Amino acid sequence: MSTARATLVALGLAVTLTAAAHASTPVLAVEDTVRLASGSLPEYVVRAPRVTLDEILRRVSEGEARRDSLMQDQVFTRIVKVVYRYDADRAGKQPKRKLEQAHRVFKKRPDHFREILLRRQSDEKDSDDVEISSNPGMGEQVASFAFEPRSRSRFRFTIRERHWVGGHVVYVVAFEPRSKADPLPSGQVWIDTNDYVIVREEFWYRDRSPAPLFIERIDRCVVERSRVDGKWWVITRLFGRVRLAGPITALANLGKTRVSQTVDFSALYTDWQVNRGIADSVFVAGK
Amino acid sequence: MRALAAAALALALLAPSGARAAEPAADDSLDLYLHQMADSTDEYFGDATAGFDTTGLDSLIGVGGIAGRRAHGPRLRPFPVLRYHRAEGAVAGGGARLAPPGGGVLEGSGSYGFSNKGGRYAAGYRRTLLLRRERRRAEVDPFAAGHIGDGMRVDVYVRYARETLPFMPEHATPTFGSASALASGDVRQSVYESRGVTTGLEAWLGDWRLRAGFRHARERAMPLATTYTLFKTGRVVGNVAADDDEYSEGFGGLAFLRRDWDLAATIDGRDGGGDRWRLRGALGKGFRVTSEFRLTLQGEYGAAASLAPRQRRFEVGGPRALPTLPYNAASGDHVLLGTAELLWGRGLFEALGIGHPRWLVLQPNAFVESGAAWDAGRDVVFSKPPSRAFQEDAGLGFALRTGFPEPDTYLRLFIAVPLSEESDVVRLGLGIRAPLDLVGRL
Repeated sequence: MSTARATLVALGLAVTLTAAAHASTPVLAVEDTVRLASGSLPEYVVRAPRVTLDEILRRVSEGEARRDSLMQDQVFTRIVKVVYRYDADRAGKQPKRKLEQAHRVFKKRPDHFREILLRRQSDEKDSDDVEISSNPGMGEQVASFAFEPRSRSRFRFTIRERHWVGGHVVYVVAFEPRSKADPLPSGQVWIDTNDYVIVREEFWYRDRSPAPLFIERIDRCVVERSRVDGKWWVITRLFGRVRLAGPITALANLGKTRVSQTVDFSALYTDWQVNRGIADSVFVAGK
Repeated sequence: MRALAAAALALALLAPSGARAAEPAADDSLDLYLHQMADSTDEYFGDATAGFDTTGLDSLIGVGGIAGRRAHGPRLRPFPVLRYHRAEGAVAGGGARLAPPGGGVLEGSGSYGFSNKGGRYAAGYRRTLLLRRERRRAEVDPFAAGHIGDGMRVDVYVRYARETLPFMPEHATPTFGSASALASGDVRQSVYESRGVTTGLEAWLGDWRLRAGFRHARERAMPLATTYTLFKTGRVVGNVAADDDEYSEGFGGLAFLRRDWDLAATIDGRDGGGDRWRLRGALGKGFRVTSEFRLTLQGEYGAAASLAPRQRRFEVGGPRALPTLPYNAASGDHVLLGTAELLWGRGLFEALGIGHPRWLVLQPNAFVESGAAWDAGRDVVFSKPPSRAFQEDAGLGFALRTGFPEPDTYLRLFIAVPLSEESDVVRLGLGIRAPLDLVGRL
């Protein structure tokens, strides 16, 4: 618990803070100082509780839920890419794009969902073994998984940094699993306390793996969010670098397809439209 | 020059250093701040990963519903059937799951046992009647099974099969420990033949799963078909004979799971009449003991009709229930079992600072188990177990997390020692486990 404590000592100074708004240069307050005679005003101790970590966690959870609940429909283009990297295995060999596919995704409450394939590029003919789909819901669990009420108790959170950026107080909150026996990642999130939404997240499994036989480690996953229409925070980019375990790489390389030990996954979410209205016929055609 | 310095000093005094730092930033500063971090992301992942080809997508979006749409035909997912058991010999076959455009999942499989010269087949259809909530795995993957926590879902299914089933299925290992059975014949899990039709409803609602259905089946014993083992150990034992039986019965069950509480429970019942009924419940709870250890406690209780056929009775023995005892070691119309397992979250080699392949994360664990299977001799649900029926063992082992088929599935290599006189010898074994596996997959 931390409490910001300020003492105004009226030794001839009365301070009035006046909120002001300006169109071009936002100003939070104007200090209007009037000199008064010493001792004419009593001393006041002003206490202002700083938002606690628990409060942040609770509000983020509520903020994410609020964000999800206000969305009635979503339309976006999703481009997903899988890249094999050889940096660690064969120095100098260029990364190779395994797959890149683009979909137009439509979602509408209560339960309408449709994906339309726009383009698919792969280094193999008729390769259809990699199928990537969106989650039909409006929520973005990949960004908020650690803050969901039911998973929060499994993580330990700490406030790492605070930034004041353009009228937004951004908290950087780190999280790590409470128990080493749980196959959960560590990471950090950037929280905009204006809306209590997650604006960016990074997580990783660097010191241990959720599935050691398949994945050696996950160096870094990045979830980036941006504002659409000035108010909707949505995922715009997603990255992950995975180092596959030796046994699974060796097994996979028995086939005709060569698999690199390091694989990058990335996704771009673009051309967002939120709450613009989607005709039900769009979904009927997809069934 | 002096005037300039004086002016600078005056400015510095008039404008305290903190004032400039506290000056509000421009409106777009947050976007700039995020873009700067995005640039560092680009630098880390490189152009090959972070560069996307968006050329021409706008025009494709315009005609997306016509030219770009992908035809979703029926989807097929084949799977092999391979196992080995002394009552069947080597069994080979295959099957497939099909998701037709009309909805639902069709499944068919067939296999042949080369020693008992017997065929096995199954055909079934499952259809999801209701699917609600945001994370709907089944809509993305039509073959996905229902799970507690995935949202509301109601399935109806019908299945006809002639199949080989294990005794005390709740303690059985998948595919009857085929590798070990083939190598040494050391797996004594017994099986029987069942042929019949099952139809039922399954519903997942919040933290609960409900099951109810009807089954008509004929069951019969399977004699020993082969004594072959890869390494001639001469330890192949007989297959426990099931009672010939034909029945029609209703069945039902209720299960509960809260992952955040690490708590799961289940209760299942089969009707089958006064001489066939069977009731079983299990409860499991995990505790995080410091940040390094996890303690899992599980309990199981079951009761069946005193005249229930052999294949409906309860047993203890095998890797999941008193591992120092072989399968079928103790049988009765009642069972009571308790297990406690302490798992260290760190890998052994990592803790000792010994170089090792990164995938070889062997987490040490210790366990103690106590249980009894006994005959109450009368048709009662609750019966006090005789103290002489209890058997205990304890052991040490290593867990290697597989992450498949469930995220918390692990292989446990263990050595177990008996704590009671009736138990068998010290046993070294390998089992596929999950923290709350007595409750089952939920």
